[in-house]
Amino acid sequence: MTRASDRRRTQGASRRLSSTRREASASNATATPPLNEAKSEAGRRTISAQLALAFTARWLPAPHRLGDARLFSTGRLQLWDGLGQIPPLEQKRICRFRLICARGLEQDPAFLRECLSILHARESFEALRALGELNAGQPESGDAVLELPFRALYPSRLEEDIVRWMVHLEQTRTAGRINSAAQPTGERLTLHAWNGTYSVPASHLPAEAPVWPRVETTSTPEIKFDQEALLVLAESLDLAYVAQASERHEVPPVPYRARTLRQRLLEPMRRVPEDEVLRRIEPLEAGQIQLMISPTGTGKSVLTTVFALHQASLGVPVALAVPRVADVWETAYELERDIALLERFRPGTLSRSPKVASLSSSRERFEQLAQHLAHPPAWDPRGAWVLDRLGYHCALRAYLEPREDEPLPQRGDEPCHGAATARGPRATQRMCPFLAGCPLHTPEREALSADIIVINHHALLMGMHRLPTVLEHDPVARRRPLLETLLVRCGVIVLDEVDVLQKTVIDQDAGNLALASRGPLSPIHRLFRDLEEHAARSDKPLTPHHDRTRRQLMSIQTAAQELTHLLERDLLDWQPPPHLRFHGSSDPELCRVLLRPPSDETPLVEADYLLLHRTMTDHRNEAPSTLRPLQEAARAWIDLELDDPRTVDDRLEALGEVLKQPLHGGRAPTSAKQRERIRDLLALRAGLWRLARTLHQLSLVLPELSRLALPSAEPVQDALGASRVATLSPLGPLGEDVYGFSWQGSDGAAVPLRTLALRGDPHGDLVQLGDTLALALAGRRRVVLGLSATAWFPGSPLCHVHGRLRFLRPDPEHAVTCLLEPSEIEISGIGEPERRRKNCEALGRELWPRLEEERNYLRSRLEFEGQDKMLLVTGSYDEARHAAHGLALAMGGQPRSVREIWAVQRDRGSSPLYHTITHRDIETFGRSDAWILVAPLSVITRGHNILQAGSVTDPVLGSRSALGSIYLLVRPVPPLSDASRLLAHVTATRSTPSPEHRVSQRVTAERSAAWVRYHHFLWGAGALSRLPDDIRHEVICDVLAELAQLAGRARRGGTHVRIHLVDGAFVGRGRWTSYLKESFDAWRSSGQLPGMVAAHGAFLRALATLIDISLEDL
Amino acid sequence: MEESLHLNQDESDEACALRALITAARAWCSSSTSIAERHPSRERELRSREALDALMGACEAIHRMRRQAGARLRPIDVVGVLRSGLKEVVSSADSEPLLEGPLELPRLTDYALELLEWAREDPEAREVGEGFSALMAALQVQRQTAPREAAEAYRRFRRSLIEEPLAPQRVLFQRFSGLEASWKTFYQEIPSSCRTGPGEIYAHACPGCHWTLQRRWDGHFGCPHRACLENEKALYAADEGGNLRPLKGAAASTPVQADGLRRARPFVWRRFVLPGLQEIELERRLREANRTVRIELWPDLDTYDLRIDTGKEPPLQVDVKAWRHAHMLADHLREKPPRKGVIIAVPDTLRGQTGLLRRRVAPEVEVITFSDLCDRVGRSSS
Repeated sequence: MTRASDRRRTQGASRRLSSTRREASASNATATPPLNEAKSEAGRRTISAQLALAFTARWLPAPHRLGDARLFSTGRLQLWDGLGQIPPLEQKRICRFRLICARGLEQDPAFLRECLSILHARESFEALRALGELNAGQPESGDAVLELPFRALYPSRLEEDIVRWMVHLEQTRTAGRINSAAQPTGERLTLHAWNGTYSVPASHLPAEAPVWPRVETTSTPEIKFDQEALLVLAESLDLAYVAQASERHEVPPVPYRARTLRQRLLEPMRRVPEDEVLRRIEPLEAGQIQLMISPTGTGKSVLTTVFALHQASLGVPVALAVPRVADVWETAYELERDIALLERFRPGTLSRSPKVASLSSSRERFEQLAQHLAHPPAWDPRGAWVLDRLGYHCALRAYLEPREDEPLPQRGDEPCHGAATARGPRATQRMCPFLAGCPLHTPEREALSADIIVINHHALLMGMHRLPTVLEHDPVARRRPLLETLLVRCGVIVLDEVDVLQKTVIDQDAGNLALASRGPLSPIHRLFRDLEEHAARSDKPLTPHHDRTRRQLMSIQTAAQELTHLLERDLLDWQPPPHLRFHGSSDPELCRVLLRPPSDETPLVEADYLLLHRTMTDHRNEAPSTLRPLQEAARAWIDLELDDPRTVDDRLEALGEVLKQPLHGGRAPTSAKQRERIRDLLALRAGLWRLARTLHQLSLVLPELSRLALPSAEPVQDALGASRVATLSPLGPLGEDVYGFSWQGSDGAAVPLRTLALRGDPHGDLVQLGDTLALALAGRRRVVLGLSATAWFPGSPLCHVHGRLRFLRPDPEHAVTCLLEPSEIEISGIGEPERRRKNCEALGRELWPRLEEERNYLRSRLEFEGQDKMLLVTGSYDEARHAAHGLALAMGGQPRSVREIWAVQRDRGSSPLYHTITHRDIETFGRSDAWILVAPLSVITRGHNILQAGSVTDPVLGSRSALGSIYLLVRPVPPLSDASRLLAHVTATRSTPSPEHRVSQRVTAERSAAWVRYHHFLWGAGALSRLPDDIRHEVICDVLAELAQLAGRARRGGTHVRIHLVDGAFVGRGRWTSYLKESFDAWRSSGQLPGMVAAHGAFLRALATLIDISLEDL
Repeated sequence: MEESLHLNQDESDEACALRALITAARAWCSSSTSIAERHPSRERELRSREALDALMGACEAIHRMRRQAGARLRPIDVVGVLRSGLKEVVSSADSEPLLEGPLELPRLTDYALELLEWAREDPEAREVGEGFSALMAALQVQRQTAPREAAEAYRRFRRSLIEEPLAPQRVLFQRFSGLEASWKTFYQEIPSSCRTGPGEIYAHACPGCHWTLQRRWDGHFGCPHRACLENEKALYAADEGGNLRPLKGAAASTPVQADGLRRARPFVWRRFVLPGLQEIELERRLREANRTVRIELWPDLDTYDLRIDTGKEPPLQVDVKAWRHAHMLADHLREKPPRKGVIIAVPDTLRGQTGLLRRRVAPEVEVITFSDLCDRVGRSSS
């Protein structure tokens, strides 16, 4: 399979490179562009390519080949073990290069085209083989270009050239450059923005020129993990809280911080891999992310707070990243309160008074504030703290000229940088005249000088400053990623729940683009319109590039409209966002129906998928005769000419006709309904393939459009050609984008099909955050510490963070019991929603006597003291509702059921049989009279502490969980047709550079391996049982990591938990226990089992007991 | 001319700021109520969003009014301003707050309700307005055949509203029997907040305006009209028996049976009763100033408020305007100018408004105080 995939990819690359060569030789063979052209994106691309060649010639061993230079153009620097051995300044330069180089260079065809052009010109570099040979067009010419040897013409001048070219790239870099502020003409300044027109009297405009904040670079201090100092600080905090209570004549709180930190976390914690007790003062290293793994409820939150306070008081600014915006505010509030109490009651504890700031996306702030006010938490009951710190207004909005009968524009979409003084597509965008002093940006301004900056995960990775800033090493005022200023300002970055952060990167590392116009014009349509207008205005004919782009845009629109039309028929089970679909999502079902006889249950093999794929997409080579009618019908969808008279219905009918006969040994769909479904799935597959192929082609030519300076090109380029996450490797190990598609469902409204270009290397980006990325952004490496209970879970693509496991708090306790008690009623694996609901209700009824029995058991056991509440976990809100309903009926209905059963729902509704709550009220369950909580898995897994009512906090263990048992009414297997999951599985496996391979070979090998994994996943998607073993192990590991988190809900305060697997699917078709055994085998054979037992001992022992194996034997 | 333009712009900005503050007060109250009463999540979120948007809108309007100069006001500061009085940010505004009551559950003050009406955000105003329009339409028809009877019927109706904002239901039934209107449009049952005694059996009338005294956020009973509170000292403490003990030296209040009693709806009280008291007061003062003068209240079915015929000059046509805020009145007069020749008379207590009103509505409209009008009418007798 590997060879076949490689061959296909190589052939694809060969075709692209052939055209690259032709274009390169046809072009004017000058390399270094004249000065006036050098500022253009094309000129920057040439200089960027020269730099990649120069780095290769300077730092990689001779003989140098073009393929080696891909290391720098693609940013796969982790494949080069020599980076750490060159001088620090050079390391910084190389990392910085990837950040500032021209857009689009990461695409191989664009890069190699530039390289060939440079070698033709022979100004700084020359080929060591005649370039003419390459034009002969041999079949393996793709490899020939990569293997083309070259050398620097003036080696002694290389150093100087590198510096000169880097300076040029810095100076001509346009990323984040700000427009000048709009100026009034006469007595008023009129600004036209996307959300309205603003008219500002000249007398109201600021008199002074704006002054942009300057972010000071923190030097690289030694960050020490000083246990003693942390414990002293924790003790001072405890004493400060007691003193405050005493002053207010209140009952003093239990002083838990110092004791929890010492006895629950630091003392049991070990350094990894050496099995020795942590030394007193442990310096943390700047560079790759370091992990601290510790089970739920062992003092990570205390440590995070105390560590941040300690570092900040030493003068080291700290960034603290937490999952959600609500967590940001609560953490910032608590830190502020801690500092205030220390200063009041324990003066001198902190050597300086740290300033705390919270940072989140400006775009979301209004909505988050409104949510906070609507559901004020206990710590801010009137919302006053949050309104005080984060309430804002927009200075420009006061001058909005309201349009009649139109609602005011939404908050969060303020035109800080996007208003023009004139109308029309070519109007120059201007900056808001009030930007420098606008209250909207006060939190940003405060964060730039704060000592502790609390930020949410999403904003850390994807947030952009709206306020321009100036850096020491980049004095041009720019809008920068929040990550850049944080890395510049903060000496240490603490990532709480680092595995959740990784999931965020995986889900969000993509641009999102509407493909069809439904409601407003799509960006694709706007770009097409602007290109047409440009062609009409221009006295020169369109270049072939531009003409090709026009056709691609038109093709995308047509295909997207057709698919939306298909989807609006509601015949296909398309899952709503965030799930993404890709062209191969239904291949397992299609292969089985079309290519296999009904009696054939043997697993599908690569040949099956390849056959279907070629039949559906490869129209140059004829398919086997049995599949030719299908190939012909599919061609009508893929190679459709824009003037083809056949409508969607005509082409669907043709596909339907094909399906009336058995194909290639398969069976003809028996019922009209099944035929219709298979027909639509085939049409969808063909349509998505066509879209993905055209989008990829468009992404290759988009950089060329920069010459036309069309404003509408930017959103398309941002979505398809730019990574939202700051990264040095925008395309990741795959080397190109993977397109996922999402559709909200019509629901009566016009909703367009959207695409998400999944790209990059989420796992690698997180690992490199403090290393190469920090070098590129801040000019120095930073300490990055990630904390979680499940971030070290080998095999789990979503949770396992590939950082250095630095601290491990072992989990040896026998505190978890897993009980396989399946009902005969199955829920997971059933596709029909109505049947699932009925089964949930039936299972709820069936469970009632078992729950009563369990409650009696919990009450009779000393180790479960105060833990007689239970959690029933379902797959969705809908299922939670039905399970609660069944349970309540079995209980005998109201009033008892209303008092004793709580169900978590999206909104507070009213049910006569049980009490409904929202996720915000979950923590109150512990203090209620109810004892059964029914909640969806995705809601309950993380972040909710359900604690016992009135329990005095244990000074060591903290508050105890109120939950004693968890019942799983769902076998949690994630949807496998999800494109972001696909990307996770592709990038989760890290390539280890092989010392005997050249850099070029390493890049190629990594890419081949990534594509093999891509196809493994693509072809296995559909059912867990049909996945290849390695991918199934990864899916199971993801599920287990989630379950470990779920078990953590009942382990706070060192309590025990019983997990009951009651969904019939646990023993049904899924062979759950055999999958678990496979995973244990995989950990054992990879040598990861001891680490797993150390990190997740209690949970793993429970699983081992469940499947009747002994960890000791393993 | 330029100076005048600037003044107009500033005044308009000030009116915008005032309007934004009123909207913010209403939205903040509504949001707090939805949270305290645990409305469904979506409704709470909607109301919170509206409240936040309104607070931010108020900040924006205030900063525009200040030309983006001075200290930055944040949404949380606006909540403070709404509770402490608008004077701090809008110099021409009253110092009275728009919100009162506990922080968690603020209530709109009477002043806020008045401003809301100006800003056309009061639903009760619509309901009463429709009923009143129907009544006037019927009287207009009657005027075609019996003008005197129609005018008299209207005057009786107006005077009874003003002089008896508290009346037994049976009396109201009789009073409205000849009119094309239901008493329910103008009156309502005595709400719980205005009742005292065991079983909430008593109600009390304000010594100033004769409307109900009501329970305030601090537990005391008082008239919601600021003038009654200040002039008549209408503030009381209730005992368990339902009697009210004066706290600031007002006359003792006699409890009346609340069941069967009806009171003017709050909008009717603000819109008809309180201004009507001023109109009747002006009529009284004019008669004192010139005993020979002939005064007709609400002539031509309330085309204006008073016709003053001294017999020597053409009759004076006067409209009484006792609006709390000059900006509101100016907006109103610009939007709905009085008929030609009608003089706007403002109570002496609002003498300070005349300057702004003259700048904004003169020369088309003459603005005069009660005393000046009385002097003019008095002079005409000599």
